[in-house]
Amino acid sequence: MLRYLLRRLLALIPVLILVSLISFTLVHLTPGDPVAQILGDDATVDEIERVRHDLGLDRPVYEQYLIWVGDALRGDLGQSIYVNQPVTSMIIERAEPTLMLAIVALFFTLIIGIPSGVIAAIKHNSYLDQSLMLLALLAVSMPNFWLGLNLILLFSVYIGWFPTGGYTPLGESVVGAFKSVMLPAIALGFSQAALVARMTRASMLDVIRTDYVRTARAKGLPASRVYITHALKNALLPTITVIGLVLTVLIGGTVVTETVFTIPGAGRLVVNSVIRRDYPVIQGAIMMVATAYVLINLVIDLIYVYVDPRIRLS
Amino acid sequence: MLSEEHETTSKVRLSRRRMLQMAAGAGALSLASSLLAACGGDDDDDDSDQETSGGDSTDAPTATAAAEGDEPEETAAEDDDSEEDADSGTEEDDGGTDGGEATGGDAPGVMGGTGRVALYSEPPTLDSSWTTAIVVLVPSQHVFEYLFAWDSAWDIQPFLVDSFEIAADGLTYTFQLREGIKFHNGDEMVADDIVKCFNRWGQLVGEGIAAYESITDVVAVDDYTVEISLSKPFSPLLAYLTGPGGGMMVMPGEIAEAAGTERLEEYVGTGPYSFVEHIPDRHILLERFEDYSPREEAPDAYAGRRTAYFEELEFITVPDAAARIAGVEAGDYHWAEEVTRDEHERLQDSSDVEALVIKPLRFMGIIFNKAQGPMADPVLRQAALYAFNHEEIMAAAFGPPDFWRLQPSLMPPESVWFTEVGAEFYNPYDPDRARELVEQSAYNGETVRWMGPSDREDYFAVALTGVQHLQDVGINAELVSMDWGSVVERRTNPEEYEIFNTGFSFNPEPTTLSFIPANWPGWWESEAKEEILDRIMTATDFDERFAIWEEFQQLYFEEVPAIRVGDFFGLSIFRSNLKGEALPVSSFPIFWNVWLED
Repeated sequence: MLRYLLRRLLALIPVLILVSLISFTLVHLTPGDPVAQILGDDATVDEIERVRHDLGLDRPVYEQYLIWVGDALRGDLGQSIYVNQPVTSMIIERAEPTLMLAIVALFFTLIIGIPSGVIAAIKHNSYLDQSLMLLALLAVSMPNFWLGLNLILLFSVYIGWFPTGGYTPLGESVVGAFKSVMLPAIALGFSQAALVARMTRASMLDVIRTDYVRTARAKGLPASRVYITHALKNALLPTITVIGLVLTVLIGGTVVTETVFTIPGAGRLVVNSVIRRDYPVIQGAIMMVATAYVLINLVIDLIYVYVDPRIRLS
Repeated sequence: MLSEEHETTSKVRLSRRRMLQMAAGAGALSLASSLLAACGGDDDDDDSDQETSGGDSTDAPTATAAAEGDEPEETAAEDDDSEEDADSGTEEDDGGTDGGEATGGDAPGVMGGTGRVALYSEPPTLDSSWTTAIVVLVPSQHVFEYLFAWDSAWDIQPFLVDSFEIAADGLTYTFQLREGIKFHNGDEMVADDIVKCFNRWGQLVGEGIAAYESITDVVAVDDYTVEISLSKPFSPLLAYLTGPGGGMMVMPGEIAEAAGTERLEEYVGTGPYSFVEHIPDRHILLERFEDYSPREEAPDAYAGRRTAYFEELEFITVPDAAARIAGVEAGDYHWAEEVTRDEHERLQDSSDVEALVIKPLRFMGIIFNKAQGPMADPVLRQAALYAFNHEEIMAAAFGPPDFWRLQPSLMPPESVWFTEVGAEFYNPYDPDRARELVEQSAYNGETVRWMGPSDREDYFAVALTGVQHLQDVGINAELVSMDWGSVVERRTNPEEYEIFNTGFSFNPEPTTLSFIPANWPGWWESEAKEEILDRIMTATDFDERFAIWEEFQQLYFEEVPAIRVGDFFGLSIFRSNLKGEALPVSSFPIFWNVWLED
């Protein structure tokens, strides 16, 4: 087990190297200059050239990459070109809101998705099943920012329960922190729940038809025990994979929700830094997201082993 | 069989009911907990809000600003107990003091609380000498002050300077500084600090570099006297030293020296607010500077007395326009900029929110690459002058006519530099004449690339419409779509384009128009221009300078280095209970001399 873990963790290294190389190359191939953007519209060509030189941006691309790698190996991810702050601290600052949002959103995803999937499976082909699946289709098709804005309108502007945006750190106020992620988490949870619902429904349908479930029912066990204790546990296996996918989306891919709700999360960091051509931050942020992906997948695999004794770690 | 199925079904129904019950229970639990979280305990609401009348108009800088001699109002610290309140105005001020008495007996407003301003874009820094971006200037002008300040008539008023003298020949300026001004780090501002700030300014800022072509020396004669010597008269000097803008911010000399031509690492100024922290994508936080030394005159736009009513100022980047608007409507923010112009009508009717049209905000300019390519030919540029229909372009970009206007002058009517010289060349819109000029020119059908930023709708619409107009007169114009970052980069390279467009902000000193220098994108190299500029920079009398400026505008219409399409306005919104004058002139807002009232 330990050796397996170690091997998986070591695999992180080539992944990160490859990701850093690809992202560095891609971003530098794209036209766009961070300096001209920061200095503003009135900057003259001389001013721009001077700052580019100061920041080492006029050196050849491979040289810039090697410098970056050298620094990164020593734990120095560099300074943001845009805000002149250490990349590491910017990433750490984003960690808490991103995780809070991801966890609360995952909670809503599961609470909406799993029961819907189970009910739809049990009441297969009924009106309930079809309307739940229609709802899932709606949730997936609905533009995220549209749902978000409507939630803001209803719950923040009209009713006033939640703030319209921004993130309150846990250290400042636990209640405030939850309040600030509640609406974006609901928006995200709703759209991600569709995937979980469909997956749960499909695998529940498979499991319900198996012999051992039929046996359990025949034995006279109450339906709830059969479905939840026996069937659901087995049906959840593919769902766990999907949960892993959902979590990876929630970590790095929620830029639209973060923008609408003004949450300083990892998604916004990645996208904004690309728009600004803030090379050190792009590298750092992508490294962070890639690491999260690898770790999440590792955890999911370990959960598999725990949940399903048939699976052995190779 | 039937009975079995029936039994199974009923069993299923039962378990489904159980399932539903459990799901409902779980849902109810989560809802209940979030409700509890929402309603349970308003964390930190000590509002000290009271209302007085606020300034709505923009063109007329009225004297609604604090009249002296008003009674100080005792603030009734109010807890915002609106837990079950269904209306949209739950104001949540984070912390801040409990109001308390208004300090300084003349201040009519209410002290305390946190002012929250929603910005549309993340400021990279607070160093507005390092970058000219307006989004930086809005927060930084609360921390840093300047030697002079603009008043509501766009006249220059001494600010950190107490009095000044200009020698008759214009070659020596002597500034007497105000005494006892403290920096945020406790040190006193002395002449040596000013000298070091000048040194940095002269190397770093465009205006400074231009000024130093005439400045030979800046010396601290004694602790409170600074003397500037010039080799030839330079009339815009005082305007360049007037804030906000111009980049000559006053900070401790050792900090200016240490920073050199790099960005400031620490922000220490003399302003009514001191810097606390800048967490990108979260906020910029400033707090009231208790040892601030205000001027004694009544407030007049950026000049005069500044009273820091708010205990703290928080600038939050809210990139989504709809979220900015919702935030002000819900009371999360007190001021928001760059509001979608379509919302104007709806917001005007709202009772909690006021809408302010900022007039003018900027003008839209079309810039030609004069260094190389087909547009380097002045005759073809003149053809373009006759090709564009300005109404169509402005309407396409800015929508309702409430938000833009056509007028011929480079400097707006609100400015003393307004002139209609050359007006016959403004928006002449004559496609036939344009086609004639195209024939006369050296144009051979080459592709004319116009860079359009796809992520800035209004600017993009200008490019889209303009390309059409050029094609109509036989110019082979092509719209090249890219994001704004790419436009900003590529416009510094003459190989990449023939035309781009951008907005130009208003500065009271006309010679600071961005497209004038030869080393700004577009590369306007012209001996006639340099000759006129030379004269206007050395003339000291306003009437003389104005006459030269009219010559300049005439030259601009002849050489067509760029085409000013029209002025456009902006929309800002704020809470109705934000009192005082946040926008005494149509420029960027200030958050001293403003307060919140209930």
